[in-house]
Amino acid sequence: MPFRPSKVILPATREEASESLEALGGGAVIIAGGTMLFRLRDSGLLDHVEALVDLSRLGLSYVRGDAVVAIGSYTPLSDVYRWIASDPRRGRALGALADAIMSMPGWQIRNMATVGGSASIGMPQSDIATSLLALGARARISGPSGERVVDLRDYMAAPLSPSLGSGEFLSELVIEQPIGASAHEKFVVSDIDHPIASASAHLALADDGSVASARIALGGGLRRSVVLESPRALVGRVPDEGVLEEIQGLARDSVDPLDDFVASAEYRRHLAGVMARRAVARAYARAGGSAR
Amino acid sequence: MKLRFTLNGSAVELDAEPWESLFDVLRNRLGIKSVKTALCEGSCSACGACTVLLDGRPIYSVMTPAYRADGRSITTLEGLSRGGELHPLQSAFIEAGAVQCGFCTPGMILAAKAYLDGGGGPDEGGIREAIRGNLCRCTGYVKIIEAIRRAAEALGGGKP
Repeated sequence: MPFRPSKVILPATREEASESLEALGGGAVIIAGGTMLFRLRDSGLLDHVEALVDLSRLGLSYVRGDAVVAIGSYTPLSDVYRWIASDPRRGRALGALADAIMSMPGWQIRNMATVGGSASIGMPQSDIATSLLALGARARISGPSGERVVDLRDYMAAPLSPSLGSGEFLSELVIEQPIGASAHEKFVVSDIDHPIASASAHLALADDGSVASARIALGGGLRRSVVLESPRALVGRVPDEGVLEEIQGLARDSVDPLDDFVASAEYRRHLAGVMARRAVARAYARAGGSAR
Repeated sequence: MKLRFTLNGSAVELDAEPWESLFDVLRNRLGIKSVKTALCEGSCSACGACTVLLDGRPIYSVMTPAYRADGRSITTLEGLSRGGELHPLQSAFIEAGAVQCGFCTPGMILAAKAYLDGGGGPDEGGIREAIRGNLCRCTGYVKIIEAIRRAAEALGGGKP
């Protein structure tokens, strides 16, 4: 039996959405932009699906805030990019997310894919998810008993199966205190491929130009995403060549890479280091720092 | 599900199944032959041949559920000419020799239309990014970029 859901449910309120998800249980899948769902339509993975629960009418397409940035889960990546690009301070602080969006091959995908969908796919290959991890994003989850907020890391439990209870869905991504600067780097064979390796770095600088705090997320062809919180090699220091060399080594040693026909584990491990190094250097330059 | 949408300026009403893509409905049920598939087997390879404009924004119709068209406006290449007059992009593609096999052309022109309608101008970087989601295997892109540049200049886009 191929992918043949018998109905689409378009809830008008979050309560209705939760009720539908609870009532349908495992026979329902949540659809946001639909890019992954329709890509997997003929894969056999979705043949059990009886109903699509569509989040498009819940008013979840928005980006707002200053000290706390809130991005509705149904917001297309193109809208997020335009919001970031419209303000230089956002462009620095949320640069990793803007880089990740522009690394997607073309406006068609950016107009369809949503932030929430990208986070919910839960794969280290997602550039959007990697950038959100570096930005310390949290996931606001709506459910039958109200809302809860969890670290995105915890939400992204496993590929294609985010950590959601019965009747729950992702309603918003929250980025608190987006200060400093961030950048995303990736290595791909061609525009449309998953990255062999990727890294996002978010840095806040002290007055003397040293790194006050940092978060580096590593993605691409890994068994799981890696987040390095304020690594000792970086904090309190200026990322000159020696420090970048240490970051490269740290990233290389932190990943559990895939080994397949696209790239060997050894090659992916090497590139994880190189991407981390480039992301830190670019974020530092974007923050106005100078290591010379 | 019953859908009502605007296709190239005309009202359309039809029933679509939840698993049908917008591509399925446009090409197989409404006879819109400018919308094509190419590299979809197993997974989308972002070739852009299925591009249509949904409320003016370029999207891939193979990855869009048909029901998302409900209440919206869809533009395909068939909707660009007016009263027998080609759209400036269509004329520019002919004049610049930007068409070889023609398979990518509808998607290219629609992606370019969204770019120009959004205020995009004749700079090469902007044009390249605008058609990044569309593959051409004949031209090497040089003449396509030239055609879009000519159309941008003809339409006066990108000027403050």
